[in-house]
Amino acid sequence: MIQVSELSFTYPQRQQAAIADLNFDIAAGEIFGFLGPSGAGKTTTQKILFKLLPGYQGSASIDGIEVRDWGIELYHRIGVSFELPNHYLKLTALENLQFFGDFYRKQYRKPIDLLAMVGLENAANEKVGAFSKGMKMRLNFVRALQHDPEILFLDEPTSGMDPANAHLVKDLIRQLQQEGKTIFITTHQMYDAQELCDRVAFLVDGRIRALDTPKSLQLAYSRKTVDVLFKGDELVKSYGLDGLGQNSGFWQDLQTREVVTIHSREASLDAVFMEVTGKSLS
Amino acid sequence: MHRLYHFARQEFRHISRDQMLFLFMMAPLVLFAFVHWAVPALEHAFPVITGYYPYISMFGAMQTSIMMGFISAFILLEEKDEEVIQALRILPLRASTFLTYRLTGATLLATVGAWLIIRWGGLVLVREVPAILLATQFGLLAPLISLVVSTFARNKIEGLAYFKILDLIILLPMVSFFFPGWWTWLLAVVPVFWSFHAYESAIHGSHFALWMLTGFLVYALAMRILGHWFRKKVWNGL
Repeated sequence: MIQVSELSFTYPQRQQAAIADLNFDIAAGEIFGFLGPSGAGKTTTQKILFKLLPGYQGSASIDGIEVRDWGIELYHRIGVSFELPNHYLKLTALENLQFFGDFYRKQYRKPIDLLAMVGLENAANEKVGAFSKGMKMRLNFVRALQHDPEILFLDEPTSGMDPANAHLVKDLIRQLQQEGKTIFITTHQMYDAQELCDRVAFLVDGRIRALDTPKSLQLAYSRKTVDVLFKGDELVKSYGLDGLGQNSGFWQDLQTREVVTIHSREASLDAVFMEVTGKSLS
Repeated sequence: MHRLYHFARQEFRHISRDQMLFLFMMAPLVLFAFVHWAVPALEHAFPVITGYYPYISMFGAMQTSIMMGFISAFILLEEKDEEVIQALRILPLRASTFLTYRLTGATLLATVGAWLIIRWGGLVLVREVPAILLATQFGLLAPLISLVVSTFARNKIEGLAYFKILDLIILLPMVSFFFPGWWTWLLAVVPVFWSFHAYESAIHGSHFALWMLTGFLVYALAMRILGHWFRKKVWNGL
């Protein structure tokens, strides 16, 4: 559905490329994530894909058509939730959705139902200027859905939200995937990427450093051991996962001693990111 | 038409919820009242002003248009400040279409306001057709103001400063009536120069069509250049 090949972009009056030689593709119905710290080039890549940044090098295509060749028809097919809220502050939430919704042919749900999806139905007639950042972000999110797009670009979709609302939005993202939508998320929230994405790419300084499923990345960088804490010990005892079934010492300890805790050592995505890129996500 | 109504309704909501813009919206009525009632009332105290009636009327028509342009510029600046422009750019909508919708309301209101002052202000007599043509040309000042302010001002505070400076610049061509000479042609780059002279010729009956036609061409050229700049600096954000 989305193919990116050798994609590079340099902002005018800048020496250094914001992104360089990116290669990835996103299949229909997939949730794909860009994970990286601020300034890594995540938003730049998305902006190229929804045609806000012309003058890129390499290739970026949607449905086999190069982005630069798409006309305004592209915007019937994609929905965008920006990193920062951008609404008419003097209009109400409902008026904002009605204004933007009027430009499209299709309607996913009625504006009031969209607001209800993210718990904003009681604030439908309040001016957006009085909203908290989290409320504005939820409005951003449903505005991106209102014309029932096939592809969704979600830039930091849970930014500024409390845990309950972030959870609600993540559930909605999964539901949208079930409905067949292709979703491209950028985030620096490791847990969001881990929970939502089928595949993630680690982006640092405009370059992709790793790309795989979150599970594969975690397994690839995990220590392959089982750590057991026995009663009376102060330190955990580690056993190699390879050949664990034939490890007589492990079985003997299990049979003769009382186990307090037992864990395999899976690396968190955050730790994998640090190991691969040498940088932290914050 | 539906889309135009859609934009007009959104602008009306916006203006009605902003005290400053709402006051500016009243400008055509206030200016009409000033021209129609206040100026003739002042004539008894200052009889000399009768000689300036055409210029007072021109000023009223011009100022009406500036105010409407400013309202529209402020809505555009707010769209810029709040980054709503980005959300508009991902709509199935071209920059030129957006600008047409956004500027039509201000242009129409400016034209009606200018027509009220020119045709019904009562200071000078202008026949029906020239009055409509003059009002249309003065009305075109509104989108020009709107494009200059929204393209070059970085925020609403700067927008206010631009508004004050533009108000003075646009008034400059009127100097050509009081200090005539070859140098006044330098002021012809300000589009309203042509409207002022067309107005004067409508009153005194010489070369009205020429002033008018040249004026429309100058406005069209200015609009094209400013539209290009808006697209480049604001819509494409470069």
